[in-house]
Amino acid sequence: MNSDEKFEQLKQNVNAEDGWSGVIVGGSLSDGLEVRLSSESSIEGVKVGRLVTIEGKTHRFFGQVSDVILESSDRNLSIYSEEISEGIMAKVATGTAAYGKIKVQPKLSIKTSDTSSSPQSAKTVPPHFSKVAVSAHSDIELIFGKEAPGKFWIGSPLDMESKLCLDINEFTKRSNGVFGKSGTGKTFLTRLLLAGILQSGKAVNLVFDMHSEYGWQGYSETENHQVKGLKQLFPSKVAIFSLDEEHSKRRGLTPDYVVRIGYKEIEPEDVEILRESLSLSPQAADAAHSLYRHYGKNWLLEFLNTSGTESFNSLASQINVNQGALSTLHRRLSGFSRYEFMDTTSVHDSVNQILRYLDRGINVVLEFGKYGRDTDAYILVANLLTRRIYERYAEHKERALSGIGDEPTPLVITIEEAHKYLTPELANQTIFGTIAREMRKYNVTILIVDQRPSQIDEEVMSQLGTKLVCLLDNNKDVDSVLSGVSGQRKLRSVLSSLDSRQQALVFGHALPMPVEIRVRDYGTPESYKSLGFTDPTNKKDLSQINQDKSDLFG
Amino acid sequence: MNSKKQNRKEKLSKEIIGEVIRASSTEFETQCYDLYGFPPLGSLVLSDDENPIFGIVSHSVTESLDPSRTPRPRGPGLADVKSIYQESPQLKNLLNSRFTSITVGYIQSQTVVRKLSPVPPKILSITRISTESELIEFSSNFDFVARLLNSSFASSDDVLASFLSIAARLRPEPDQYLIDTGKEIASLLPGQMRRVNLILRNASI
Ligand SMILES: Nc1ncnc2c1ncn2[C@@H]1O[C@H](COP(=O)(O)OP(=O)(O)OP(=O)(O)O)[C@@H](O)[C@H]1O
Ligand SMILES: [Mg+2]
Repeated sequence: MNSDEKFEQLKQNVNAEDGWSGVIVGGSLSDGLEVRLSSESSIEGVKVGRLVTIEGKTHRFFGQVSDVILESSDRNLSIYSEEISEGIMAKVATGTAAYGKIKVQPKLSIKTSDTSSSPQSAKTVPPHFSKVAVSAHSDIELIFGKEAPGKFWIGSPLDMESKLCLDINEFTKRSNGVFGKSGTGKTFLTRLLLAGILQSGKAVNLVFDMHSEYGWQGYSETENHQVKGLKQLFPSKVAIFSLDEEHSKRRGLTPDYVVRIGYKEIEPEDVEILRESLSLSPQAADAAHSLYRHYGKNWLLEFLNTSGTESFNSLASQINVNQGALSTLHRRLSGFSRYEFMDTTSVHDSVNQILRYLDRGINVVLEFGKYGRDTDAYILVANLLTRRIYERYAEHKERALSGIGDEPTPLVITIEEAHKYLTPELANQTIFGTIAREMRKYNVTILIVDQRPSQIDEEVMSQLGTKLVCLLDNNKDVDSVLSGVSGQRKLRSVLSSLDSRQQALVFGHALPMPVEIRVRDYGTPESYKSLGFTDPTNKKDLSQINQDKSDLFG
Repeated sequence: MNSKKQNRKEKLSKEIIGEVIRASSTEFETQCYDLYGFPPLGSLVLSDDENPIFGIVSHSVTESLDPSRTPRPRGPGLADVKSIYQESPQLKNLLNSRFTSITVGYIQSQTVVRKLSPVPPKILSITRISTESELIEFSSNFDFVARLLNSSFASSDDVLASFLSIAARLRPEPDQYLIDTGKEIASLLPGQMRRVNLILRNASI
């Protein structure tokens, strides 16, 4: 049985067990349509968020169940409920005097006769008594597209086995976000998105892999085993850079490049972004700028080498900075010296190395190893590298615009813990804020993976093209991901009813309508195979076994 | 050949019980050949001329043939009813039994139409009780329910209950039949679940 046949079968099973259908009996475009369920329908089979198809007269409409309601046509039903709650009468009353109603939000429509184009957003509603039923596999394909190059299967609509696909080209046109509280599957979903982008060839990834789980070996909590990283699935298309070589080696990985950061590469802006986590006063952070003006590129090392009260006092007066602020700054920045990736001597080549790979269309995952536990280190490095890569992309793009050379391959930069440096205070100052607000001006977008969206700058949030949101239970976080989205109230109820893992509400630029999905499985041999991975070790095993056999039996 | 034979047999066994003596668009009255020869309340009957018309027995009477002469009660404790009829065979000529049927459909070119007939039955057409297969066919569609509920008969709910009870018994799953019809009744009587309940309770006895 091929997978399509399997899907057909599964779909039928679903329909047979908790099948339902209904007819439109009222409602409006803005408030949603009221659908009376047929008396054979099982109301327990209806789930909020379910995609439905409505056959209008000339148009087919697509929508989503937004509410399930128990209705009765008899106002006194509750008075004699006891009398009729048993035997034949209960069955008679079910579906007649007491019936199920659902609310459906119409989202898209397409002319029934139109077989070539894709559905547009619904501007009217189907007439009374139009039939409503669960969307079929073919409807899902019509709305979201078929799995194909550039159309990446990310999961299935809830309670359906159809493959729901994301248009990677549209997706990478803007910055995007993956949100959800801890343990809901953000990392797994992001890894899939990265694989989709990688496979499509529409863009190339740079991943700041905080917990070393994207490139080489992730870990599945529920299955208690390791899952493959991108490098293991697509060895020729992924390079792993490491900030902590020892850590990488311990995990059986020889990194393609070990990243070093020179003190000279650190700019006052990098201190600014760490202001909060280093608990620096505004004056102290400003002092970094003064030092930069005073010493030039080598400011940090010069500053850190300053010691003794006297030299401090004279430095303070020279650059006209409060002495207390200066010594606080000194104390905090001294912490950098514990970072083994920091280098006093040379200016390093990490940025060029990264760009060299990206230019060849090879995705780069930077593992942080032990520094992943140190948010300061993560922010420092991610910010510093991104700033310089972005500058290079901007130059590259400007050159291309003036007719010299090709445009750079679109770049997607994946970052975690964005709420620590895309706060309202910092979003204007950091490179990530700039990129998020720019909509791929220089072919660079970011993919934010975060659990506290409410702490991210509102403007940045509103500029995100597509959001993939796993369960969030903090109201502020829910508000922030849904702000500016139409039909918020309904999406809110959908969002709060998600499972605690591996389910997400996906909406925004890359999709014609919001949809609740069960995220595609990742971590099983089948899942790797479906991503195009053929296990070379397996073949080796096989030939080895054959060899052993022939050795043994001649 | 078998079916032909059976057809004839069924025809023979069709039970003729009387003739139409009064007819209107919505009901017809049959005078029985035999005193007390009327079918039970709720039975399906046909006035069987060239346009057969279905009726459901909704009201039966037995009374004196001569309206000016009504029987005189014999007084208490004299004799039981059975022996009275044995002793006075002439009673059969002085009394007559009649019943009224609500028109619920007709047969047109061999198919059952569950609507009022375009014309009422002719006076003196024969009336017979429907066969089992006619009853099953007729009751397999619930359009008749509305006709009964809307008739001007005061006790049409009981008539409906009686009819359903007869029709349900002919089915392999009588309860399922009552549930299905019950849903139709419930949708015709919105907000009157108690009445629906009563009809179904009477039907399921
Ligand atoms: N698509 C998936 N396929 C298989 N398992 C999954 C999937 N999504 C989530 N899981 C399971 O849920 C667990 C938690 O997922 P994940 O590590 O992605 O959560 P997270 O949101 O990144 O959490 P944290 O905020 O702690 O980083 C995984 O270890 C895995 O067992
Ligand atoms: Mg994670």
